[in-house]
Amino acid sequence: VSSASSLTQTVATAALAGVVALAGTNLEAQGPVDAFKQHYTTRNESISDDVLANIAGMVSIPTRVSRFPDLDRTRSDSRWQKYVYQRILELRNGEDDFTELPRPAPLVTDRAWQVATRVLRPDTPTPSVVPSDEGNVVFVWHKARWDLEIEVGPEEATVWAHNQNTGEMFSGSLDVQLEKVSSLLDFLAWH
Amino acid sequence: LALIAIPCGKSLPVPNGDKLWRRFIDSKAYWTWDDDLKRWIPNRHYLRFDPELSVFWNRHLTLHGLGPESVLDGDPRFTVVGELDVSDLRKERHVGDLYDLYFPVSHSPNDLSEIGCAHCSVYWPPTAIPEGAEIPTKDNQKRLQTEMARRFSWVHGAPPRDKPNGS
Repeated sequence: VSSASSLTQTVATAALAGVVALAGTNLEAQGPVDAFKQHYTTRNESISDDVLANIAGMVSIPTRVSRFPDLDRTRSDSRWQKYVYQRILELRNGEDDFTELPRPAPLVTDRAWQVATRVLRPDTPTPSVVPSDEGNVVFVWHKARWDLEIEVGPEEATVWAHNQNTGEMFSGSLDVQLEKVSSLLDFLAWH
Repeated sequence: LALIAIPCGKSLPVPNGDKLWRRFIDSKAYWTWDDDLKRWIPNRHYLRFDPELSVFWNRHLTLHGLGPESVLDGDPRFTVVGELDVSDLRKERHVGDLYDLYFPVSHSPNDLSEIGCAHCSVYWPPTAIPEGAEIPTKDNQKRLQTEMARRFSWVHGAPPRDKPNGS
């Protein structure tokens, strides 16, 4: 009993020391997150004849929409970053005319920015940034007799390239063709 | 007199050398910069074939006393009219370094609008369609749409002026 009591006292002392140590810093103990406060509940209009309609007729919607990252203004050496960022932001905010072409979803515009920052180098020539007829975001170059498109959709990014002089074409998944795309972007940077 | 000679609603042959007009929206979504031509060309995604591309025959509109602005159809969102030369689309000829395209063009009048009598259809080149298929491969569709985009000139309004900085 004596030994157990001593052990309890030691643990309590250590715990108290921890609290005192924390109190001396600017750390804040985070309480449990109330997940329900980050969502609001509404009727799920998309459920109609589903067998779960009666039990799953309500759905939780996030109250906070994901934010588009701020432009890293330290990259002043980049040829393309300011223009591409602005265009993606315009597409994301619907500041364009979408009469004949669908407006890309925020998920797609956010992925497009991620792809741009991953694939384009500071000296890459500025591409046009347009919506596709499927609601994807497309980076387009017509330069040095090459047509190059990097198309970013909700699930994957693809590439299509065409040489106007030779008729050479390559296409497919951006991940698979990344080496060729990088070489072509290097070539375009010097022409 | 010309309208009597060429009645509306009847499909007629479209001769080489005639022009085709299509309307565009002056918004960045509809244009891509061509750094070789040093001008904006249409976003190929706006040149949709479903299964044909709709354009309007300039000769027929002229017979009605209408100019290129008539294809805007009074919709204020459209402010630019592009022009294609029928010969450039289908005739076996080289235009500078541009490829031959062989797009069939036919007059396809309809009553969907007041200028429907001048409606024409551009179809995928049969030579670009693989055996057993109905349309070209996706890669070839992109090539053909891009080649077509490069052949547009402007007869009403104009695309954006400033090129993308750093292009």
